Amino acid sequence: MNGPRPKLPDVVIRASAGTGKTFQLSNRFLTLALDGAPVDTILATTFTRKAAGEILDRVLTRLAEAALDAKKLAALADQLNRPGLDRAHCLDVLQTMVRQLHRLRVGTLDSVFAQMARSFSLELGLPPGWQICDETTDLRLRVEAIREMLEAESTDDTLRLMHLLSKGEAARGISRQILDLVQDLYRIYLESPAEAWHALPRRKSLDPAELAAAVAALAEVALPSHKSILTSREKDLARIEAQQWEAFLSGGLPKQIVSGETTYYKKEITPDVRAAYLPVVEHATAQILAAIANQTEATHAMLARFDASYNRLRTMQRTLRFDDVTCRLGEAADARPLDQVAYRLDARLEHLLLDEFQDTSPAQWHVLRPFARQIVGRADDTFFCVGDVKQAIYGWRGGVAEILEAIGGELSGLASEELDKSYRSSPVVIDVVNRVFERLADNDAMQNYEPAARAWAERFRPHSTARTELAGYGHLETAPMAGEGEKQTNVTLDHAAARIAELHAAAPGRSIGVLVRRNASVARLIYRLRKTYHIAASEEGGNPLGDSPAVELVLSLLRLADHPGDTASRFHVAQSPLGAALDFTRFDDDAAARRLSAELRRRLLDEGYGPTIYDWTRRLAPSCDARDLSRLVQLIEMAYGYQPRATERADDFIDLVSRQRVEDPTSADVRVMTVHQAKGLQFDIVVLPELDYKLMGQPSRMVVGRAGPTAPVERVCRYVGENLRPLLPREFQAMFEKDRQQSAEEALCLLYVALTRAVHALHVIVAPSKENEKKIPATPAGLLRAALVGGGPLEPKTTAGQWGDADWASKHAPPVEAKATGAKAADAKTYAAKTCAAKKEEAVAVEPLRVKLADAPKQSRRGLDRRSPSQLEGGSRVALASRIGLESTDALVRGTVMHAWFEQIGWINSEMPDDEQLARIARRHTSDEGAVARWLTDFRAALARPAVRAVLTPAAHGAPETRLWRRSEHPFAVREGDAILNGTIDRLVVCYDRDIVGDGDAKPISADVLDFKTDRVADDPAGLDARVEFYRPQMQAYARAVAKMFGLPGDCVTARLVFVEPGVVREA
Amino acid sequence: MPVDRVFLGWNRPALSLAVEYLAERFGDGGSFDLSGLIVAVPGGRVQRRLLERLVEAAEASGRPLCPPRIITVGRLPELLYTSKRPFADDLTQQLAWADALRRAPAERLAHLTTQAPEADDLAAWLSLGEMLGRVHRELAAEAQDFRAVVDCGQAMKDFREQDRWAALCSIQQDYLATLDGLALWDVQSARLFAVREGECEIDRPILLVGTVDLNRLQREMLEQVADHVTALVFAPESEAERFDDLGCLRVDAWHDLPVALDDRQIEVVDSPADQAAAVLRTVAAFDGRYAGDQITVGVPDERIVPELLQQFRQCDVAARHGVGDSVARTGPYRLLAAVAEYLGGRRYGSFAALIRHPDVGQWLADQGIDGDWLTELDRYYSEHLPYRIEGELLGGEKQYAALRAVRRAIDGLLRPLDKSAARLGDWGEPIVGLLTAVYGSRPLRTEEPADRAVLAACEAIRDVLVEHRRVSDSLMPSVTAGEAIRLALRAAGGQTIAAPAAPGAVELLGWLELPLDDAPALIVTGMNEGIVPASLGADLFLPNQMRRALGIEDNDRRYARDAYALAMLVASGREVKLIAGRRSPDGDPLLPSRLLLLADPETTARRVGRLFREGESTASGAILPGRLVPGRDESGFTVPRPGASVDPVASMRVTEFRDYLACPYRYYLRHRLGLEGLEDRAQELDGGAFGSLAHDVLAQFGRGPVALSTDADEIGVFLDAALARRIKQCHGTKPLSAIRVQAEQLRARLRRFAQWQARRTADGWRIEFVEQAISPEKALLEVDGLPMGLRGRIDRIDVHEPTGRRIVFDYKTSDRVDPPDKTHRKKSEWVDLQLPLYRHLVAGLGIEGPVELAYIALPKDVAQVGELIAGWTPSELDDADETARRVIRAIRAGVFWPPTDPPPAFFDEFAAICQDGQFGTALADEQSDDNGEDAA
Ligand code: SF4
Repeated sequence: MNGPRPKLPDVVIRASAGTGKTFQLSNRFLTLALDGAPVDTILATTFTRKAAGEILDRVLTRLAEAALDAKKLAALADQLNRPGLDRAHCLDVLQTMVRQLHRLRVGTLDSVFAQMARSFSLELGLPPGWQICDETTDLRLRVEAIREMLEAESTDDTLRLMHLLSKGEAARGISRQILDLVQDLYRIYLESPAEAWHALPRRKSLDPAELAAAVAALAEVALPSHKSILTSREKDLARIEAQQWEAFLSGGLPKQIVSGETTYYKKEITPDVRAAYLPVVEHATAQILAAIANQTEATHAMLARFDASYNRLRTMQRTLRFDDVTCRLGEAADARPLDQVAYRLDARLEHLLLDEFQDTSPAQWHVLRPFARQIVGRADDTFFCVGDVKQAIYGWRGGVAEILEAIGGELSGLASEELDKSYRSSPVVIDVVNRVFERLADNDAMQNYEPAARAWAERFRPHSTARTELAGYGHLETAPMAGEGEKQTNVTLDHAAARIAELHAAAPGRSIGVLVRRNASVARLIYRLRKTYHIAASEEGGNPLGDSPAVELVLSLLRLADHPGDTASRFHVAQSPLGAALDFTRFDDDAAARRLSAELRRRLLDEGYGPTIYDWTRRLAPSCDARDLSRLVQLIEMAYGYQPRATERADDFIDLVSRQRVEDPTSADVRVMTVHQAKGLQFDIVVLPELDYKLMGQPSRMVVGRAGPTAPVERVCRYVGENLRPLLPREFQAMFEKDRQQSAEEALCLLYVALTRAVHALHVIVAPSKENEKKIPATPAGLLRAALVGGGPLEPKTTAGQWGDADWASKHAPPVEAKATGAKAADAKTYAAKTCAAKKEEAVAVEPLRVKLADAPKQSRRGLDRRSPSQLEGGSRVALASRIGLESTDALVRGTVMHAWFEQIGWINSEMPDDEQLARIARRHTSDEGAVARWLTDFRAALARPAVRAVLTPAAHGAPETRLWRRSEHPFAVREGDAILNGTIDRLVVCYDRDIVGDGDAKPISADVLDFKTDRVADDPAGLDARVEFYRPQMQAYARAVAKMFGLPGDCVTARLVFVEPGVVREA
Repeated sequence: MPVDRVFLGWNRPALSLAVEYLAERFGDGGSFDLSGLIVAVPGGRVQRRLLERLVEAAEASGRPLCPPRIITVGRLPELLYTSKRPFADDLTQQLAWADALRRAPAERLAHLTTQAPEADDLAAWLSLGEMLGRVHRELAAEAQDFRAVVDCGQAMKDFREQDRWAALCSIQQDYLATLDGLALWDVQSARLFAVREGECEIDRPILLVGTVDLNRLQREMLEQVADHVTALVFAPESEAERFDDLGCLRVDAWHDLPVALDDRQIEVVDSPADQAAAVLRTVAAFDGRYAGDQITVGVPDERIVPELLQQFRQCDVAARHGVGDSVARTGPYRLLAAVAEYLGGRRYGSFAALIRHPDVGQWLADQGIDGDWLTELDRYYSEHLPYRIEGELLGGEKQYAALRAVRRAIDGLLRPLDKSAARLGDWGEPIVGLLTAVYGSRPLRTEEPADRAVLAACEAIRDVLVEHRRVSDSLMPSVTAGEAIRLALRAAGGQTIAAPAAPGAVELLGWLELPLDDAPALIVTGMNEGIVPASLGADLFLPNQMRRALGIEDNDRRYARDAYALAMLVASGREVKLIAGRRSPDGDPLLPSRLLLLADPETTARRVGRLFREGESTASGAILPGRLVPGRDESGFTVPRPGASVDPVASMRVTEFRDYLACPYRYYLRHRLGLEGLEDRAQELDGGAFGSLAHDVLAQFGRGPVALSTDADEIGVFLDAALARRIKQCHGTKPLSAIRVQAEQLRARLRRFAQWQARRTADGWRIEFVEQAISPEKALLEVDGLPMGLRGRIDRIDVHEPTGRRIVFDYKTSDRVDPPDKTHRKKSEWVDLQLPLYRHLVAGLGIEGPVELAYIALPKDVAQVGELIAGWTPSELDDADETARRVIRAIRAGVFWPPTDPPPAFFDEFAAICQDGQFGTALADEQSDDNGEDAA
C-alpha cells in the first residue's frame, strides 16, 4: 500500500451536530500522515485548547492501536479508505511522528496566530516581550483606560457623549455605561474603518429663517375641514416649536406624507398641503438623520479615545488579547510574502485542516485566506475544513458563519460533503430535531423572518442516527401562569427546577444538562436546585469559589488586611473559628483590627498568598466538610498561581477569586449552563426551560454592514427603531433588515445546538399561552409549539406533547464509558463517567497520605549552608546602611586592583613586579590611565610605609624564608557544623618546624593570615578600633579555617588586618 | 596535543565518579591539595555540591583540603586570556544598543520594525536593544556575527531577509563602535579577539567535569590550551563514538537512546497539581528507604515549583528549591515599585497601595504616627472620591488627622525623589536613601529568612544602582525618578535570592542540574515535549533552520543534550521516576516527551497507547491534602446567631423599618451591631452619595430666600451655584471627571426641578420646613404601653396657603423613581414605612391635622421631575402603623432570626456573613439597581 497516492481532494465538510467533526479531522490527518506527508507541513486548528489536545491524542492513539491490534487496523483501514493498510506501515509512520512530536502543528487558531505574531512582533509593531493577558487583567486595564480617558476629557465632551448614549436622560452611572459600551463595541471599532462610521449621509436642513417661513406657510395652508386634521396640525406646530422631530414625523399628516399615503382621515392630501408640509418634513428628516449620524460618530470618537488610552496602557504592560493579535496579523497579511512566514515558522504549510469553521471571524479568515489560496492553487497541497453553519452561535464574538457558506467562492475547486448521521442521539431526539427544522418555512412563528427561515430550510437536511438502539423520550410541557407581580420567566424556571429534581430522582447516574439563555437564569436555577431540592447542581465551567462558606471566610479575612475598618468582615472573622486562632474575637476592637490588618499584610508579603492561605486552611480544616476543604485547597492553588502578580492590595486577589470560575469536582449531577457553554457537550437528558424570548433578541447597539461575509465593513450605524427606519437610505434599511434576520438565524442556531445536545431525552418547558394570545409568538418556544404540537394556545401546567418512552431510563443501564467505534466520543464528553470519577477522587482526596523518610545520614549531608568570612563582617545583626552604601565606583575598582597587585608580591625585597606589569593588570579593570597612574603611586607609597613593608617580609613571621610556606589568594573550605566555611585568604604564611624544601616531614607550627584593607581610613586609633571590631568575626573565621586545615591549635594562628592607607597593621 | 578524555562510565552518579577520580589523582600523601587545579562544571549547583563532596571526602580521609578553583564553564574563558580592555556591563551594553538603534536612519530601522519607539521612550529602546543584544550574544558565543546570517541566508531557498539583516549588521557595527569609543569591550568581543589572536594561555591544569555542551568560542579557547585540559566523560568507553575530542556530544550520534527505559519508570498524569501529587505518591512509595536529602526532584518547568513545595509542605516533608524566590517578590522591590507608581501621577490608587505596603506601615509606626489611617483613607475616599492625592486633604481635621500625618510623612520620605529628570546615575543616592530610611532603622538578622530576603534584595538593587552610576557620560540618559526606579527594578527583578540552606531537605532542581546530581532517588517531573527537550518552533530572528546552518544551538542539539542526560540518569543505578503531565499551568495541552516514547517501533506503539490513555484517566482536581483532613461530615461554618443581649432599643429611624421587614437578621447586623462594609473601589458617586449631594443642595435652597421665588431662572441659578459650591467643598477643585459629569446630570434634573418649583410657588405653595430633624422624644409611637421614639429627617414640608393642605415630601434621586405605593408595598404587604411614619414625626413638629405624603421625584428622565403623591387611605395608614408596631414588638423581643431567603438586594455587605454565595450568585434579576440612596 505504500507509494505515492493520488492527492486528497480539497474539501469542505458540513457536518451536523453529533456527526463527528473532530473524527473527520483526525481521519484526514492520519490519511495525510500515512500517505507520507511530513507532519510539519500539516497545520490543524480548532477552537478550544482542549479540542486541540484531543485531536492529537486521537491521531496518535488510533495509529498506535492499529499497529498493535489487527481488528483496529482493519477498522482504521476502513475508516480511512486505505484497504491495504498494514501494520508495518503504521509502526513506521508512528515512529516518524513520534520523532517529530515537536513539529506537530495542532492547536487553536488563536495559539497558531500568536505564534506567528511572536515571530513577527517587530514587523507587526507589537511591544517587545508581549504576552496574552487574562480576562481579569484586561478588564482592569479597560476600566483604567476609561478612567484615564475621562480625566483627559473636558466635562462638556463627556456630557455630550453621555447625553448621546443615554438618549438625553440624566442617568447617574457613568463608568459602567461607558464600560458596557466599550465591551459591546470595541471589537466593531477595531474591525471597521473610520469612514464606515461616517457613512450615513446627512441632508440639508433649513436655516432658522427658512424654517420660520416654512412653518408660517404650514400654519396658513388650507386644510380639509376635519376636526381631527385641524387639531393634528396644532400638534404638529407644537412639536416643531419644541423641536420634537421624531414625534413630528411619527404621527399625523407628516407620517402619511413620509410613507407616501395620499389620504388622511379619508380626505385627500392636496398638493398644496403636501407642498406646505414637505419642507418641514424634510427638515425633520434631516434633523433626525443628523442626530443618528452624530451619535454614531460620537461613539466612534469615544472609542477612538478609549483605544488610544487602552493601547498606551497595554503597551506599557506589554499585554495583548488574541483579538488584537489576529487583527494585526490581518492588517499585515497582505503585505507579507508567505514564504517569509514559512521561514520564520520553520515549516512550509502544505496541508490545512480547519475545524469548527463556522466560528471563524472575518479577521481570522483574513489571515488564513492567503495560505488557503496558495494551498488550493498548488498541486500537492490539500485543504480541508469542517463546520456547521447551523451551530454558528459565536456571532457575538465575531464569528461569521457565512464564511463557511461562501468558502466555495473564496477558494476554487473545493469538493463538498455533508454529514447528517448522528452518532449521539436517540431516534426520538433526532425525530424532534427533524420535525422542528424540516419545515421551518411553514412555521407560523417564523412569519416575520421569512429570509431566515428560508436560509435555514436550505441548509437543513433531515438527520438520521446511527444509534438506533437508544431509547429516548421527548416531552413538551407548560409552566404555571405567573401571578400578579411575578415574572413569567421566573415562574417557568422555578417550575423547571422542580421537574429537574424529579428527573434526577428518576434517573440516577444520568447526566442532566440544563440549557438556558442568560447567565441570570443559570444562577437562579442553581440556587433553586441547591437550596430547595438539595441537588448538587453546578454551572458548566464551575462557580467562583465563594460558593463555599469556608472560602468566603478566608476572603473576609483578606478583606480585613486591606480594610481594617470593614466591620462586617471583622464580625465575620471574629465569630468564626479563625477568630480565636488569630486572637481576634471582638469585632468592635479597633486597635486589634488594625494590628491584625498589619500582620496579615506582612504575612502576605513575606510568605505569599499560597502558604498563608494554606496555614489558615489547616486551622479551618476541623470545621470543614469535604466540599469546604476541597474548595479551600482550590483556593490555595489559585493563590499560588496568583503570587507572581501579587500587589499590595488584597482586594485584587479577592477580585480574582470572585470572578474566576473553578469546577467543583464534588458536584456534577446536574449541570446548568448557557447554550453557548454547552457547545461540544452531550447529556443523557437535556432540559430546556428558557425558550420564551424573542427570536430577534436584543437589538444590537451598533449595526454593521458589509458587502459580503468576508468583505470589509462599509457602514456602521447606531440602532434605529423600526418607526424611523423609512427615513434612512435604502442600503441602511437593508442593513438593519439583514441584522434582524441574522439575529433570527442565530436564535435558530442556538435552538438547534440546544436540541442536539441530548442523547436520550429532551424536556422542553415553555410558558403557557397568554390569555390574549392571538397568534403564536415569534419565540423559540412558539416555534417548537408550532412544529411539534400544532400551535394552538396552551393551558398552564399541561403536557402538550410527548414522544417515545417516558420510562426509558429504567430499561437502559447507564453507560459506563462511551466507547467509541466511530465518531461518537470524538466530539463530546459525556458527564456520567466524569461524575463517577469525581466521586472516586473525593474518596481518594480525604485519605491522607503518609510519607515516611529515613533518618538523615550524619556524615554525608547535602545542602550545607555556605558561609564566607566576609559575610560575617559586622556580626549577624546587620545595619542596612553599612551594606548598601554606594561606594564610589572608583573606590571599588581601586580596591580590586590593589588586591590584585598585592597578590603579585612575594617577599617584598626579592619578588616585586615592575610598574609595567602592574599597569597591565590594572587595565583589565579600568580604561582610565590617569587612575592607573594615581593608584600606582598610592601603591608604591603604601609599600613604603614601614608597617606594611615589614609585614611582607619573612621576618614578620619570625622564621627564615626557607621554613615559610606562602600563598596569596589561597582557597579554603572546611566544614563547621551544618555549614561549609569557604573563601580565599589574601595572604597566608605557614611556618614549619624545619626547612620545607625537600623535607616531607616538616610540620607546621604556626600560621599567619593577612587581610588587606585598601579603602582610605584615617589613622585615628578609635576609628581603627571600631573597624577592627567590625572585621573581627571575619578574621576569626579565617583563623579557624587555617587551624583546621593545617591541624594547628587555635592560638598558633594569628590573623592580621593590614590597613594599607594609613599603613597600620593590627591583630584581630 | 589533544585534550585528554577520561571515560569514567555512567553506572554510578557522575559526581561520585568525579570525586573518586580527584581523590585518586590528587589525594596522595597526607594532603588533599587541589589548589592548583581549575575545575569547570556546567552549573552553579554542581559547583556547590562538588565542593561539598570534596570537603566530605577530605573529612572522611582526615586530610586537609585545599579546594580547587571550581567554576562554572561560562566563567572559564576569562581565565584563559587577559582582556585588553575593561568589560562593558549589562546596562552599558543595553544603552549602547539603544543608542545604535536610536541613531539608525529611519529607513534602516524600518527593516527591523514598523513601529519605532518614540524618541524619548528610553524603556522601549532598551527593550529593543535587549532583543538585539541577545541575538548578538548568542551568535558571538558561536564566534559569529550578524554578517554570518546574511552569508548563510544566501544559500537558503526561503530566505528573504537580506535587507533586514543588512540593516542589523549596520546597527551591530554602530554598537561595537560605540563601545570602542568608550574603550570598552563586551565579553564576547574580548573572547573573540583573544581566540583570533591565539592569546589563550594557562599555567595550570583544567579539568572539565560533564561539560558536554560547549559553544564554539569556548571550544576554540580550550583547544588553544589543550595540553592543560582533561575532560571527564561520564559514559563508558564503548560509547566514545558519541563524544568528540573535547568530550562534548556529537549531535548526530544521539538519535536513539543508548539505555532502555522501563515502562514502570514512567507515569503520565493530568494537571500540574496531579504531577505534584504523583511526586508525593512516589516519595511515599519509597517507604522510608531514603532520607530527605537523598531525594532529588527534577523540575524542568519551574512553574510547578510552588505546587510542589505546597504538596511537600502538606505532607510535612522539608523541601527546598535552591534557586529560591525572585527579588521581585521581596519587600524592597515591591516598595520601590509602589513608589515609582505613586510618583508617576500621585493617583489615589497608587497612594492607597503604597501605604498598605507593610514596610511602609512599619516605617510610619516608627515615625510615631499612630491612628487608624487606613480606615481614614477608606472613608476619605468614599466621601471625596479623589483621583489624585495632592494638595491639602479635603474635609475635617479631626476626621483625617492620622491620614494627614501619613501624607506629610510620605511626602517627606519621597521628597528627594520628587524632582524632574536627572542623570540616571544621580538617582542612586536618593533611592538607596529611601531604602535605608525604610529598612535601616532596625538591625537585620541574617538568620531570619525575611530579613535575609530584605538584605539580599537591597544588595541586588544596590548593585544595579552602582552599575547605573558607572555608565559613561556619553551614554548616560536623563530620566525621572520613576523611570530610574523601573530601570533598576527591571534588572534586579530577574535575579533570585537563594533559598536558605536546608540540610536534610528534598531538593528541587532544574533539568540542567540533574545530570550531575548524585541523590540515590530521583523523581523528574515535566517530562513533556517542548520542555524536555525544549524546542524552538518559530523565532523572530533565528529560526531553527538558520540555527542549524550557522551551527548554533538548535533543536537537534537540545535533543542530543537531553537524550544524553536521560541516558545518564537511567544508567546511573539510581531509583529514577519520570512524570509527565497532560496540561500546563496555563491549561495548554501537553504531550509526553518523545524521549519517553522513542524506542523500538513496537514499544513505541505500546507506550503511545498506554501513556496517552493514562493521562486521560487521571481526571483533574486530584488533590492530595496530606495532613489536611476535613473535620466533619457537615460543614461547620454557620451563620452566627444574633447575640443574646442587645441594648434595649429606645428609638428607631423611620427608614430602619424597611430593613427589618426585608430581613430581621441583616437588620440586626446593620442597625443593632452597626456593621458596615468599607472599601475604596467606587469609580463615581453611588446612589447614596448622589442622593445626599442633591439633598444638600435642595436643603440650602429650601432654607434660603429663593425658596419663595416664582422665577424658575432665579431658582435655577441658585441651585447651580449651590451645587457648584457643594461639589467644590466635597470633591475639591478638580473632582473626578465622572463626578463632574454626574454633577452636570444632577444639574439637568435640578433645572427641571426649578421650573416645577416656580410653578408650585406660583400656585400658592410655600415651603414650611426643610431638612427638619425631629428628636425621638417628640415623636413617639406607643406599642404595648411603651413608647418607641422615632427619628428621622424630613426633607421638606409644603403648605398650601389658600387651602391649608400640607404635604410631607421626600426627595428621590434614583434613576427611575417609582411612586410611593410601589416602593412601600409589595403584594399589599408593607415593605417600607418611611412615608407613613413621617406622620408621627410631623406631630413632633407641632403640626396637627392631616398631612399628605409624597415624593419629589428627580429621575434621569427629567420630563418626570415632579411630585408623586401617595394616596393611602387612613385605614391603609393604620395598617402601616400596625406593621410598625409589629416590627417594634419583634425587635423588643429580640427576634432577629432567621435571615430572609433569598437575600434581599440592598445588604450586599453581609453576603459573606450570611453565606449568600453558597447557592450560587443569588437570584440576580430580583435585584433592583439603586436603592442605595435611602441607606443614608
Ligand atoms: S480580530 Fe477581527 S474581530 Fe477581533 S478585533 Fe481584530 S478585527 Fe475585530
